[in-house]
Amino acid sequence: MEMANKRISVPAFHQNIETLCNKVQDAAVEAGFDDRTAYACQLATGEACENVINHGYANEGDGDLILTIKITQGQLIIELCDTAPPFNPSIYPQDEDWEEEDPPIGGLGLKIIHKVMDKVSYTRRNGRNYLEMHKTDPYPHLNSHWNSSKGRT
Amino acid sequence: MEFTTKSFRRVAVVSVSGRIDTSTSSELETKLQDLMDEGQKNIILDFSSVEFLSSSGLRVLVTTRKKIRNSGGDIVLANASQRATDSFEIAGLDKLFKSYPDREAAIGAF
Repeated sequence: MEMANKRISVPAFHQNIETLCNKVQDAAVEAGFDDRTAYACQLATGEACENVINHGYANEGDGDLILTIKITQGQLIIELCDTAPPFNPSIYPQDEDWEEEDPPIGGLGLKIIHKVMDKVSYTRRNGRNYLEMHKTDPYPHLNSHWNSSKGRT
Repeated sequence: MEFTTKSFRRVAVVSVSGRIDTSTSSELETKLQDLMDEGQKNIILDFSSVEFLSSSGLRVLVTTRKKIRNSGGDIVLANASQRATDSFEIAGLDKLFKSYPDREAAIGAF
C-alpha cells in the first residue's frame, strides 16, 4: 500500500500548535477520514503538543516540536518528537470517581489522546521523546467509538 | 479566538469563534471572570463558531462553572458546533453543561 510521509518542525511555542494541528487535519482528510475523525486526530495532536510545551520543556520555545505523519488510505500514524526530559504519555491515566459538580480536570489532555486514538506508544531514543499515535478507523460511530477501551495500554 | 458579549437583564451571552486552546483559554477565562466581577450570575456561551476546543479551554469552562454555580448562577451552552460538542463528549464533560439548540432557547431558560 502506498504511503505518504509529511514532516514539519516548529519551535515549541503555543501559537505554533495550530500549524501542526492543521497539518494533521489535512492528512486525515487525505487518508479518507470524515471530518469528525479528522478533528479527533488534530485534537489529540494538540493535546500532545500542549503537554510537551507545558510539562516537558522548562520554558516555552526551549526546543522544537517535530511532527511526522504517515498516511495510507484509511490509516494515519502521527509521530511527535521532542528533546524535553523523558515523559511517557502512553500510560492511560486512571479513571477517577467524581462528583457531578466537581469533575477532575488534571490529566484531561492524556485522557483525550487515549480516547480518540486507536494506539498510543512511546519510546525514548538518543535523548528524544517519540510519541506515536495510530488512527485506523475512518468512519467511527461517535458514541461507541469514544467510549470503547481502544487505545488503553 | 474572538468573542463578543451581549448583556440582557438576567443573563450575558458570550459568542466565541475560532480556537479555544492553550494560547487563548486564559483570555476567555479573564472575560468570564470580568462578567462575574460585574455581578453577572448567568452566562450563555454561544459556541456555534468554535472550531477547536482543547483541554485547556475545557478546564477554564469547568472552573468557571464551579465558581458561578457557587454564587447561585449557571453557565450553559447554546448552538454548540459539532467540534465543540465532540470535545465535551470526548472529555466526558457533555453531561456537565446544559446545552440548548439556540441562544433564544438558552435565554428563555433563565
